[in-house]
Parts: sequence; C-alpha cells; structure tokens
Amino acid sequence: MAIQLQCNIQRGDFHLQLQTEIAGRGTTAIVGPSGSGKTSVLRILAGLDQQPDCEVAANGNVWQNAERWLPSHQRQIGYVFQEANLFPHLSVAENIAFSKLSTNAELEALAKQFGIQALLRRKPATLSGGEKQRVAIARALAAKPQYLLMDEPLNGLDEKSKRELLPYLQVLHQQLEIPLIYVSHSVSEVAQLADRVMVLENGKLQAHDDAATALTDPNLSLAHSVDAGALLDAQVIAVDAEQQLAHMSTAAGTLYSPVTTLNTGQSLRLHIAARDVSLSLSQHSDSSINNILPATIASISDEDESQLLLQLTVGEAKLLARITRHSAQRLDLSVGRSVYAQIKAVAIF
Amino acid sequence: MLAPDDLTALGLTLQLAAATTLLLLLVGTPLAWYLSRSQWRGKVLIETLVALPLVLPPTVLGFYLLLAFAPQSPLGQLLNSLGLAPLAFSFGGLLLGSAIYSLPFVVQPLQNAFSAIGERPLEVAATLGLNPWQRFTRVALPLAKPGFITASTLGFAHTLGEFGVVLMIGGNIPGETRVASIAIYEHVETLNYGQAHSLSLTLLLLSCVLLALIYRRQRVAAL
Repeated sequence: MAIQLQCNIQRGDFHLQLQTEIAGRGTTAIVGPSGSGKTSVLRILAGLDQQPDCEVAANGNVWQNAERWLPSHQRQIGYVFQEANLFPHLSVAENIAFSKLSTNAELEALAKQFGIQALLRRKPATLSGGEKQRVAIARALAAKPQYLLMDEPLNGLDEKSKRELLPYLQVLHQQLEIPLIYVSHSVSEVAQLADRVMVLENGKLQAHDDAATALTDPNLSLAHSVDAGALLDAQVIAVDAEQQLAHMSTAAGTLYSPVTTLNTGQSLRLHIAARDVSLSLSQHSDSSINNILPATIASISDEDESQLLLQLTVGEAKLLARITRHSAQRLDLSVGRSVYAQIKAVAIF
Repeated sequence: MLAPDDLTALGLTLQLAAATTLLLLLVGTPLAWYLSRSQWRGKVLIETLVALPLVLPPTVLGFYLLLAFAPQSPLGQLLNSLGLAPLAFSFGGLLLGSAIYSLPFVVQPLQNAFSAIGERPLEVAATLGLNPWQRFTRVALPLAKPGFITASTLGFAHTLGEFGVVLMIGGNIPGETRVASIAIYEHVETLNYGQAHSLSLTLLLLSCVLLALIYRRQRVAAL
C-alpha cells in the first residue's frame, strides 16, 4: 500500500525535487509554508496535475512514469479539497451516493459516522461549512478509495466549525483502514492527526519522520511555531477517583492529568506545548505543578530576540520548552545540563 | 385572423426554428465543450469563425451560401453524386443556412456555461472514479443547464426573426421556404397591411410568451 514518489520538476518559479516513500498505513501529514509544494504533491499523487517529470508507484503498480500515465479516475484515491466542492444541483444524499460504488447500507453507515443523517435531503447551499466538509469526506469514502488525500480540509472554516469537524477527523484517523495523506500548515492539526510528517520547504523535502520526532526537531519549522510541542503516547495506569487525577505512563515517565473521563488501560495521545514547559534546577516540592520530570538539555536554539527553544531529553522522550533568554542566563543553562521540567498542562487527544 | 397561407408560413417558421435549434444543440454542445476546455492557441480562429455571423450582414452570408449551394459548386456536385437534391431554395438549405446564421447564439452561451463550471467539479468527479464521458454527462451537462436554456431560447428566437439569409437562399416557395418574415415582407410589398399586421402581431406575441416562459423557468431554477 506504500506509495513511492519521485519528482524533479524545475519550471520557472515552480520547483519540486523529492524522492520518498509514503507509508501504506496511518496518517502522513505533509506540512510546510504556503508555496512549499504541499498541494502540488497531493495533486500529483491524485493524477490531477499532469507532471511528466514525476514518477509515482503505489504498492508496486506504476501510476505514472515516462511511459505510463494512469488517469485520476483509475487511481482509486479519495480527495477532499480545501473547499467541500459539493455538487450544487444534487442533494446531500445524492452527493454521497455520487460514485455509485457503495450500497445503501454502506451509505447509511457513512451518514451516521459523519453525523449527517438529518441533512440528507438538503441542498449543499443550505449547509454550514463544517457540514459541507463532512459530506465531502463521506462522499470521498463512499467511492471506496485505497488512499484518502486531504488538502487542508479545515482551512476555510471558522473556529467553531473547526472544533466541530476535528473530532470526526480524529475518529477517522483512528478507524480508517486505508492510508490518509493530509496536507496542513497547522501544527495543532498535525499533532492531533498525524503518525508521520513530511516537511516541505521550497519544493524540497526537509524531513520525513514519525510525528513525535518531527514535531520536536529544533531544525524544523514545526518546533518553532506558536503551537509547538511534543507528542507522547500514553496509557492510563490508574485513575484516582478521590483526587480526580489520571495517572498515565509515557516514555517520559508518569504524568498526571485532571481528567475523569479516562479509564484504566486506555491508550491515548498527549500533546505537551513548549510554552507549557518551564525549567528548574532543583525538584521543588513547594510547586503547584503536578508533573515534574528530570530532564537533560539536548539542544538550545534561538526562538526570537527574547526567547529560546530548548529540546529536552526526558526518559526516552523528547520535550520542547520555550523560555526567555533572561531565565536561561539566570539559571546558567547549557546543553547537557540536568534540569527538572515542570509541565503546566497536558493536552489530551 | 390569419389566412391559410400565413398559417402555413408560421408553421414552417416554427418547424425551421425547432429543427435549427435541435441541430445547433447537437453540433454546438461538443464544439462549445471543446472551446471551453482546449488550451490550443489556434482555437481563437474557431472562435472567430463561430462569432462571424454576429457582425456579417445576413445578405453576405446568404450570398456565399447561395454560391455554395449551386449545382456546379463542389458541395452541389457532392450532393448530386450522392443522389441528393440541391440545397438552394429547399428546406434543407434553409436549415443549414439558419444553423450557420444562429451558431454563435447557441455556441457562446454554452461555452460560457461550460467555462463557468471551472475545473474543480470535474476534478472531484474524477477522484470519485468517473471517466471523462461520465464527468461530462453527470457533472458538466447538469451544471450547464442554465446555459442550455439560454442557448435554446436565443437559437430559436434568432431563427424566428431570420430574414436576410432566407431571402438569399430560400426564395419564397409556399410550404417549402416561405417563412413568416418573408410573408410579412411580401404583404407589405403588395400593400396588404391587414395581413402583415396579423402575422406580425402573432410573431410578436409568440416571441413575448416564449421569452417570458423561459425567464420564469430560469428564475425558478435559480431558487
């Protein structure tokens, strides 16, 4: 199911030079600033742009090379565009059924999965942005694709619609059996949805790594964004009903989070934002912070004029901490130094 | 009321307009689709030829058609060798002339409608597994529906009002080439104003009703 991609396009202002293999399982996020070539890669994979200087093969089948060209409609790819692009002359139900590749029972299951049963008779023009995008995803899945491609599906939406749509994408990420390739420029979306990350800049592949590594690599732009932070896989080992505290085992050590909806044994993904991590030289027992972990400073890089970004090794995990230059000077921090990482908040996905 | 002659002329006019519109939809749809999608630079040449009847005096067009329809012309000889009747002064000739004359009125609205769809809905359909023919019939045609309504109306109405081309290539044969506009002209020439009035008024009302119906339908479709 893996996709081999090789491009060497040099045309005017447009460059795209990369060679990589996109995993045949889970979610691969393609990130990078606008103009970096993210959407181009997705369109090439889908066969929507005829780029003769690219070679694409999926699971050993050549989709395109110098001799062969497989058109979009034969590639079995689902594609969700930035705008939902529903067919305006058809109802929601007709849009979902458009490919004619799913049975009625399958269509009903999709409508249920995306919470659009009540909208089936409506015309697209009467739907909200989030509703339209849910219909678009259901429509793509109803064509039974072997790969699902999404081009910033949350981009055109307001905050409310984004919050409404994201849980559906998270469920999709957990349940989808086919690979999902997700273009995004939002670190928070990547943190919530991606298993692996391809970082593009100026049409070149900067990195292609698992999400936890890419997000905490200070050499990549992801670690320097406002929402930068570390990803940790966690398992709930105990729930303290009296204190309303969940004890979670992670590669960084045991973390505590005031969440009562969790059950013992549950696996989940944590995001620890760089801005929520502070450092101290000794293990304060007089701190209000629950999570204090011994750490070693792995690297220090400039953030801006007043702040530094520190990459920390905590147990077997990497965390990011954003602190002021002033604090770093005061604590005399340097690479290799042992410190304590104090984690103010743990976001749970 | 209308004289039997005038009724025949009116019937022939409607027949000609309907046949022309049908022929133009058949020929114009693929042509308009090609023009809306083609990246070929030379397509401006085709667009020019399509638009030519808009600016050309109908008599100029009629004159060249008359020459082309002559039995000695290459077209005439071809028809003759196929055992077909010559086109000049025949309904078939009128149909061909009307079709050329009304071509831009059908092709241009269709081309605009196809262009307005943009690439995106067709790309969506492709990723949903539809082949090019399915994309055309299931996405492009339904989305271009307003364009088809406009094109049919304009094609029909424009053929109703045709005069110059018919005069040049059709003449005035009752039941064969004598359409309403020619009949009116003849009534006026022979100072038969009463009959000219009846027929003119009929055409006027017919056109009004036709346009009103289509505008109403378009408004309903837009809602």
